[in-house]
Amino acid sequence: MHRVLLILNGKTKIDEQVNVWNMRYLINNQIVFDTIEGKLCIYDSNSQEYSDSLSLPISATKLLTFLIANKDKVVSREELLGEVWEKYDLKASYNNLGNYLRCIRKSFAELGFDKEVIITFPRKGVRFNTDVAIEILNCIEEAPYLTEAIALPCSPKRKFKRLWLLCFFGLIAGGYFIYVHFYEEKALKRVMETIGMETKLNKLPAIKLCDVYTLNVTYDGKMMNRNIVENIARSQVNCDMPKTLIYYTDSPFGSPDVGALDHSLFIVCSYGGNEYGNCVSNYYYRLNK
Amino acid sequence: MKNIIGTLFLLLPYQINIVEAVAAPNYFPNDSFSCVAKLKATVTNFEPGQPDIMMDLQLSYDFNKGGKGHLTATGAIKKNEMEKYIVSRNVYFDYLHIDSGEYELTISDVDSYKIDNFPHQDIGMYLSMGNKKNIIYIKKLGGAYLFSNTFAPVFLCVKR
Repeated sequence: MHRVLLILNGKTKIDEQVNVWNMRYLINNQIVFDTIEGKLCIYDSNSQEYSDSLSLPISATKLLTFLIANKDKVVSREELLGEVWEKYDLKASYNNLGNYLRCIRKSFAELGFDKEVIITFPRKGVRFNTDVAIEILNCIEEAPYLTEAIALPCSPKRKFKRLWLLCFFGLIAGGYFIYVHFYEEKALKRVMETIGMETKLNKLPAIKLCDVYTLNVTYDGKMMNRNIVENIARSQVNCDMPKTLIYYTDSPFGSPDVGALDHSLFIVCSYGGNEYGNCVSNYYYRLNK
Repeated sequence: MKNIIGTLFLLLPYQINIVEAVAAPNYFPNDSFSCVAKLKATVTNFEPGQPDIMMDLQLSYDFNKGGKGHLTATGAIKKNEMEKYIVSRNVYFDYLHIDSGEYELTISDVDSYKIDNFPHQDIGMYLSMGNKKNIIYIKKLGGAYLFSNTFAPVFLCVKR
């Protein structure tokens, strides 16, 4: 099993040519850290088998990766905030950093790792424990052929996964193209009819080119119709173009007991463009005082 | 304030029951789905002293198998027409099916972009995403899902 590509000891720097963000590391011959999946797995060096795994949050994965890549130096908290959060336009805070450091320590402990992985140097920063050996198992992006030698149960064979993903997205893109150009309007109507069938939407008389439904058991038809016309006005819906409107209210006449004058949902689904993005939920809540 | 809002929203179960009577049965926890919602909400006169709220948000939910989920929320929120906020954040959560249509979401991670200046604690009231644990109700409506929560707007999330 050609498992080890590079072996690092406490004094060896990670080759700068290697992309540290796309790696699997073997930590102290006990734990495998997959930077892409953000997972830690227990590794048994005798049987060469992998067992329990757990997932790290994205920020914890970035943090641990950065500490491993800089394992020979004490990294200040400011540098960590910059490299792990600010560099990605994410909000950085000391509180967050502390939480994620605790999360990493706790995760290792949960997997039975008995050494301190991250050492804190008061007023200076933190460092990955140099007594903990790190081996690079492989570079996921740059040496995909090595994945055959490392069949991690927590990380499926990436080469095939990518191929499947490519095929999948290719099919989706092709299907979407056909859909958008030939069946868009028909499909949207079918979706709305499906909703209607499953929810027993009540169809009301159309308003210009807008098909109108309610989710309610029919209240006073005239009152409901007036509410819908008011909603069309305040939601600035243009019924000169075909649309499907779904209206719901649980206080069509106001509810004197709780004082709610208006508590309603007015869904507007327009045609054209992307079917799935074309429904807007207009929610209104107004208390009568 | 939550108590008052909760009282005001007591009517909500009636709405859910209407849907529930004819909607598909439970589709969790082994199923997964993704949906997108465009929500425009106007909330006025919640209670004295509280601001009127206007929201214009796009919400993209992924409920993955194994109880892990993800929400991307982008858009704008206005308070009293004066205070304007941008929302641009990723919320990672674990979800648990409690009962028919009822789910408990536990936030595991929140990544806010720098442009996002809406207070995290406030968003809980509007998206049921601010507390460590949040209860939401999801009802399947054909090709869409109706999301609701005691303290938050109801909206339709369309399957994608």
